[in-house]
Amino acid sequence: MMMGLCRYMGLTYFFTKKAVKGMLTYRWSFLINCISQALDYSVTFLLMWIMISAFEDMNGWNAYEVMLLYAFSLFAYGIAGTFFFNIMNLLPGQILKGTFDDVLIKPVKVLPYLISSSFICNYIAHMTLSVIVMAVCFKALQIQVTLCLLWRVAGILLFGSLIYGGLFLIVSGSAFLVAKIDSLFQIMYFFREVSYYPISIFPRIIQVIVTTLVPYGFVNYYPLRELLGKEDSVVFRQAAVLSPLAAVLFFTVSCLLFHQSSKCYKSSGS
Amino acid sequence: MRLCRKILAISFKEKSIFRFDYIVGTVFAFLYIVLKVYLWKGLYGAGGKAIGGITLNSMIVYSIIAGFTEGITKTTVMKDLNDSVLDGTISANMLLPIGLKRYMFIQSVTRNLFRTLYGMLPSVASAMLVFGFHVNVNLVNLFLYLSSVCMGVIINFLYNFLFGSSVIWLRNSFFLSNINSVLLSLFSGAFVPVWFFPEGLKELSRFLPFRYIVFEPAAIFVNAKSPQEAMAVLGMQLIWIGLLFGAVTLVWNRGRHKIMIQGG
Repeated sequence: MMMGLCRYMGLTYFFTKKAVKGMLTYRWSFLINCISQALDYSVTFLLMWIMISAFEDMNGWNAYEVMLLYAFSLFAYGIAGTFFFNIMNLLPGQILKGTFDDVLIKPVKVLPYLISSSFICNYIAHMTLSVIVMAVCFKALQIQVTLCLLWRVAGILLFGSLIYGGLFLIVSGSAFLVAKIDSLFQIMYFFREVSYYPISIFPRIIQVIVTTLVPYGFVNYYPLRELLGKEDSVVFRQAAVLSPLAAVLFFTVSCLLFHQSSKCYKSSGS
Repeated sequence: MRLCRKILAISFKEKSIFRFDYIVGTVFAFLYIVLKVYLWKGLYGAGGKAIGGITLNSMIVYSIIAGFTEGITKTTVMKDLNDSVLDGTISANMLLPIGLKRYMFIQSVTRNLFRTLYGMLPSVASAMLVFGFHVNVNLVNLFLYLSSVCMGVIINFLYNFLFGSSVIWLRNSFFLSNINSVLLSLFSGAFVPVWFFPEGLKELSRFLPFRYIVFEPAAIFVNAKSPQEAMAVLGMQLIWIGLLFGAVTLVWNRGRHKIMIQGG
């Protein structure tokens, strides 16, 4: 177990070095890409702020609190995307063309290898922007940034990224079973959009879905509801304490699902 | 016109092959409308009192109509120009027995017409059925809205073509096109109408063409404007079309001799 872990850590280090070197080769193109992404997201933050400030609050959450929700979600998405996005991006093509064989004949386990080799740097933009927004929001909400708070924030982000990672895995794993994964992709991104806002404003059915099937609620809403001491009525009131457990459970289940679906792989091509 | 019909027919054939994609696309287009409606409901709260003279009901109608208007006025001409210069296909398009500007305009309009008829109408119609559509639509308003949308289409096309031409000098206008899409999503009012903007931004939006693409037509539709104000909007749109058309003609006539065609 320990040996295996060390081995894949080594691989991760190796592939990360490679990715960073690749990024540095085209550093202007990389920088422009990052700035574009950050601009895109900052406009969404700005629109959110404009919209909610005009109304004072959204079901008891003021503009800065809703922006915090978004920032947490974005940061967790960034962490997960760094390691998992490329799996989802590349795997369907590899399966269709049959080049996934390359992975299978390597003396490694499939999933750990994929995770350690899929590092990309692009999400640094998401994370930087979310940290800036978080700082602004904490200041505006007059929340004292203590060491204890930072630990809690780190915990929320870590478990949140597990949920995002699990979703990435489920979507990419389904590529083994069906040829086009676009609709699952759509589901993932639609509910991501839902989770940017306090989910208590949505009908019960959506609240249940984002707590159970696509558990985005545990990424930002439930933990922050407790952190900020909100009292808005939602179907699962005490879900905050369950967040870490839910995240670990969800991630484990998605790994198993991925593993099972990868057994359905049939090579095509020559 | 014949060209339009041809492109429309081809698009229909293309789309009917991927039926499942179409259904999924429509369902999610509908769900995104639902999402927006619940956002506004959440903002207005249980009291539902009018904010800035806008009631929850007109806000819901506004966001449905704005989504629809955004769909019609959308254009990818900036990206198309960029790509076709990068891979050299622009040379083939420039040899067509029809001006490149006109060709791209027809292509862009037909695509949008198709997408609107085929893709958006079902989701918009079902949203209207589900959430009710309490607005008195009279013929004058409808006419004003439609003419305003037509001008919005032209404004957005000309604007994008103008800045898309920068590829001739810059070699790659990716970054510029991104900045433009950011400005458009901020000032067009497709998501958050200009009513709710803080004063500074509202003032700034008056000097930019973006609000005349989605916000003003949709605002005319929900009766937020008197006929005089609506006429003023149409006038402003005409002025923008004139300005942009002049600029496009100037830039294009200078630039088209300089296009460097790579590959091909």
